[in-house]
Amino acid sequence: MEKEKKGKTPKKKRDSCSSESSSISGSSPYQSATRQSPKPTSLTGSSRKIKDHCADWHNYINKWQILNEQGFGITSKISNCKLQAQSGEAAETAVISADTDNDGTSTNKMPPEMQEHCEQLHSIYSSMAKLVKKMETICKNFRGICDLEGHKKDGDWSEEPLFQMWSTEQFYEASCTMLSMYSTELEVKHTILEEIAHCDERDLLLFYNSTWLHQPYIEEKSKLLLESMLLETGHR
Amino acid sequence: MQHGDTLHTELRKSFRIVELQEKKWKETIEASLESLKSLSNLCEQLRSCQQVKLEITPMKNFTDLKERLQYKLTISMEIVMEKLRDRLEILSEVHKQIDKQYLRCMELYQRQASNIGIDRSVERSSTEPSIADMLEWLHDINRSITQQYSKRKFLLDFIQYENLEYVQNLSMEWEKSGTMHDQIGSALAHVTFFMAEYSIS
Repeated sequence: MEKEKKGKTPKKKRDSCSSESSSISGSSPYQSATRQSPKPTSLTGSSRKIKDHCADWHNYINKWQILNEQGFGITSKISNCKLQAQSGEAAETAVISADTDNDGTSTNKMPPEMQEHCEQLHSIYSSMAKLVKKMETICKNFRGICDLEGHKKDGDWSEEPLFQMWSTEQFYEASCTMLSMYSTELEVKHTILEEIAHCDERDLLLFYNSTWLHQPYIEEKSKLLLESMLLETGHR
Repeated sequence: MQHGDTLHTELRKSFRIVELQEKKWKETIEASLESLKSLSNLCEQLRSCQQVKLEITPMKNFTDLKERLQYKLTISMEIVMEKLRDRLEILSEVHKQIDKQYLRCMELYQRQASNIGIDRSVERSSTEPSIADMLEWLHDINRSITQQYSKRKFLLDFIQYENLEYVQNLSMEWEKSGTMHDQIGSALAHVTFFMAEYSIS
């Protein structure tokens, strides 16, 4: 609430979040917000909060996309390592892992660089998990704003919307839909992270790579929802 | 102005157009090869996706994953196909341009044939090929372009995403469909001095 009392403008918030939005390209909604929104400084309370969270969604999704591409680079390397090791080209360089049979013969040969790749992939996954946590927080905040607005209006939703057309409930629902997509996708990525280094089947390796890259649970609808939120709040 | 002069002017214009269009053709063919490689890669992913038995993999809890991935891959393939169709459209434009220019020259020649006469038509010098030769080169280039365009159009028209072998061979077939470089290079080399006169005048 202290932040609202001070009446921070979007620009100030951008400064305060500069470390988060540093990787975002020139299309950051913060820039357009200052240009298009008629009275950006006049926003306070729930409107301010919603607008800021919509910008957060944009930034988190961009970051997710970057991490996804980095992750795909790593999964490709892991797959190549596995396939090379299988075809025997890397047989000389392969090291015997700690996992051995009772009679001492190796059951799982891992190329030395595999460990490093797996750690990198784990680190990328952790960053993605953090982003999903932040997305969850946005949803909780939207829920809180809905309750607050409902309380203020005493259940009367015929009041004017905060921005152009959307009610606070719609922001909450859109966020929940997007969160659901990203949460499921994170679970898929977690399975890939756990299994890819132990997989020997070529088709399955390719399937893991493809699944990581194309993100089947993130539907096209998420782009539409995000753009609608940005448009509604005047970021676009 | 003599009858032969207007035909010469049109021929010079035609070879200039051929020269420019050949660059466009070459760039488009090269750019298409990249798209064809992407398509082949996506097809391989689709085939792997179809062959994986999800129920015996650690992904078995994601029951609709396979269908979702297939959908996403198909969308990506459609985007690549759209690019390829756009490029085929560029090749079609090149083909039309050269065809139009060839027909214009032939029409002009047929109108003026009796005035130009056979002797002048086949007369050549060390710096200027004969009208007959130049018309023949233009005809050969036009025919070659028509053939190459038709082959490539046929290749794209018969793509089936399930037929991995066909898609994988596509880039090879695309290249095998020929280039105009040698043929046009040879024709343009013969008309170098003839064209130089045009740029001076």
